[in-house]
Amino acid sequence: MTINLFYIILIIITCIAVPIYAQSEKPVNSCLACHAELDDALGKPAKLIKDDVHQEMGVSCANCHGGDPASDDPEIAMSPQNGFLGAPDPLKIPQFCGRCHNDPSYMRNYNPALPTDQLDKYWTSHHGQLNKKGDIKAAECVSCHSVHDIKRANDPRSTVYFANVPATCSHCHADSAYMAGYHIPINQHTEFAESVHGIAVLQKKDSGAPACNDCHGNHAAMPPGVASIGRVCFQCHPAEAELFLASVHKDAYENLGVAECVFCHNNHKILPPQDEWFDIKNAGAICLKCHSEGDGGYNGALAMHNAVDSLQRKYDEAHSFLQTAEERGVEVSEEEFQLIEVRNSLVNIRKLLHSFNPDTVKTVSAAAFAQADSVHKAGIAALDEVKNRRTGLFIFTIITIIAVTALVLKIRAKEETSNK
Amino acid sequence: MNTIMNWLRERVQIDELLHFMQKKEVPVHKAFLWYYFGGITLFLFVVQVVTGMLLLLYYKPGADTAFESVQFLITKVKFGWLIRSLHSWSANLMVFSAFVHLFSNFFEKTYRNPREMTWISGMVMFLLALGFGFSGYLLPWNELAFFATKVGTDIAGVIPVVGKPALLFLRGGEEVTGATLNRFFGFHVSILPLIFLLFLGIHLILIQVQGMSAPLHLEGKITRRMRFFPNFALRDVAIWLVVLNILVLLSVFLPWELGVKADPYAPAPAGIRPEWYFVFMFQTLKFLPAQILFLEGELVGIGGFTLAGVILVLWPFFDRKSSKGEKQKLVPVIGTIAIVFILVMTILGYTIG
Repeated sequence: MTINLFYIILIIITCIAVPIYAQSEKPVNSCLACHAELDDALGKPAKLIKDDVHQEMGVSCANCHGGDPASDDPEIAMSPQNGFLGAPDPLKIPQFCGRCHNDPSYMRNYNPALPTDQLDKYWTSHHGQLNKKGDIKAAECVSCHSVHDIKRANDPRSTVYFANVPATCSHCHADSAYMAGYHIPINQHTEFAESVHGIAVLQKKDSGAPACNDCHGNHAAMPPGVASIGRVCFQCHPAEAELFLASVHKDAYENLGVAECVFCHNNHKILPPQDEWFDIKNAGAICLKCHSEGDGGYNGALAMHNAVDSLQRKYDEAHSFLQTAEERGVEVSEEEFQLIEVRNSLVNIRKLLHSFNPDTVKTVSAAAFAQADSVHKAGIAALDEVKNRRTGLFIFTIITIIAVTALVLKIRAKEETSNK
Repeated sequence: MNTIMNWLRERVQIDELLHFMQKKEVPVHKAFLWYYFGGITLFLFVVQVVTGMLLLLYYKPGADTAFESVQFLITKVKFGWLIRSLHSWSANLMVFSAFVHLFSNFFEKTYRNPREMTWISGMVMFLLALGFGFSGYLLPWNELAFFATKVGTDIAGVIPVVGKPALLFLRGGEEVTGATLNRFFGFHVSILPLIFLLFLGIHLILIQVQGMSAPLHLEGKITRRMRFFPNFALRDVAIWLVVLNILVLLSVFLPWELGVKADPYAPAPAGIRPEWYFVFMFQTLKFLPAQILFLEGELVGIGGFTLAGVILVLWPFFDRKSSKGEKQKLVPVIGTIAIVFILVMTILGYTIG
């Protein structure tokens, strides 16, 4: 009986202990153990790797650098016989990363949605072409993605997170010493930061707004050519694009060999559009680059500007009247709603300017002007109402004073009579 | 004029009524001014009734029509803005005037024997006036009113046993909906006015029959008296005219805002609070901890206010000393604490958060 009990306890202990032991047996990574002890550049990867996406997915040091991580002996662990590759040649980094990232069947095991064409695209990029020419300064994978602490692109800590992309690109492109010899400007980041896109990306953290890579491409980064700039902008501005492509300027720009959207809106420093840009009577008007007084374009620009300008003035006037009336207590919400429609029309008309068709702009403006005018009249009527109310109050107050004075006199007279 | 009077004399005992009115006198003393607040409250109630009836010509209760009908009234109807503003401002001034009337009578201990019924009827009218305010606030169906009603009725729902049925009764369902609006409209224009008029009748008859009470500490020392009709009545009319002028002035320079239409699916906007006369209670409930001993904090607060209300209504029966002509030191202490508490809590309600 005692022996049976002994065996039962032994079996139970074995059943519990074996899986626990098996579970506690973790794969050995001597790379981290040794490099963590080092304080120099060789120790840095071991410290950075904790936050790296590869480490998170179970891709070890040896998966990239080769060697035998099971061995505690550095000679054996980093022996070329055990496949140790060491740190790659900077010019070979794209191929180094591409061993996995260019292999769909391998990447499927980790992130099936991640594209695997980065390396192919890279070779088409300006960076890739320079790399092929042996330019060690040309950006490769780690220049943008960092190394050993690589994050997913949608991680706000990542160097390629949309709001961090301008800073990542400008790390090289804004460095005059680094860019010397490439003969390209280094003020892109400064200009971009002032632009509507830059404000949206950098200040408002609007992920819908374009950063550098949205216009230039990321792995296939290359400045868009004159002929393709329009198509790049059209990705986000299709309504303007449709109007522009049907306009007289489409062929004219093509013949002149000027970049479509950039010609008026600039490239990196895309500022909020101003009506002064097409105010042909203003010496700074963009239209004057090609048109002069008396030609068809000049007259068209003049007609369009007049239409937009008069509508804007009418809108401002109506808005000011309504605001004053509201501050003075008149209910004008219905008129305010109509004014919102006028404001929407203004937005639409400014978009219609891309048709460069004065007749269309004038027709739509005229309808909106009539609506703004009716709101303006309602605003005037509301202010008249305020005046009438105050006049009425004044008259009523006078009547009250007279009536109260009469009552007081009557009371006095009565009390004097009764006292006598 | 004489022909009309003679015609009336033949049919109604008008001489007896006139004789009664001429015989009635008002004691003249240093606290005489407070007598006017009863008349002011009455006048503001009359303004409420008149403007309320005019509003009824255009107001359409219902979640889809209430806001629009008020908007139409104040934008398209001649003097519609004035009628609505007069109604809203007079409602608020009426509650304020009723507060003053209540506290002045409390401090002067005019509720003492034989005027206990006058006090109770006045207190009931005061509570009904708060009910008018609460129900009327929702009627324009705007955002602030909607959420304030939601919070207000939620508080009622906290009361054990009767809370849930009371909430369902007030809202006409689980949530504040168009059904709640219809219900509040019914309370505001039919049920509350009927009950109010009954108590107003009792209150006025008692005042006319028993005459105006003098403050306890001046009893026996009053040497001057004023005839109610016409001397006091004419003074009342003069003050009413001034009050009416103030109402019009407020309506012209600070017309009552309509706000934006209530959207039951929208999140509650910041700064939701009830009408100013409920703010001291609302703020107190916010200050109370979640748990007081073994009871829910909010419940303790509601219980405290209910108890204070009941004691206040029945105060003449608690203060027997005053009825016997003895000095009651508790009244000024309680009154001052109550006023300071209401003021501080109201100010905090508007300044904190």
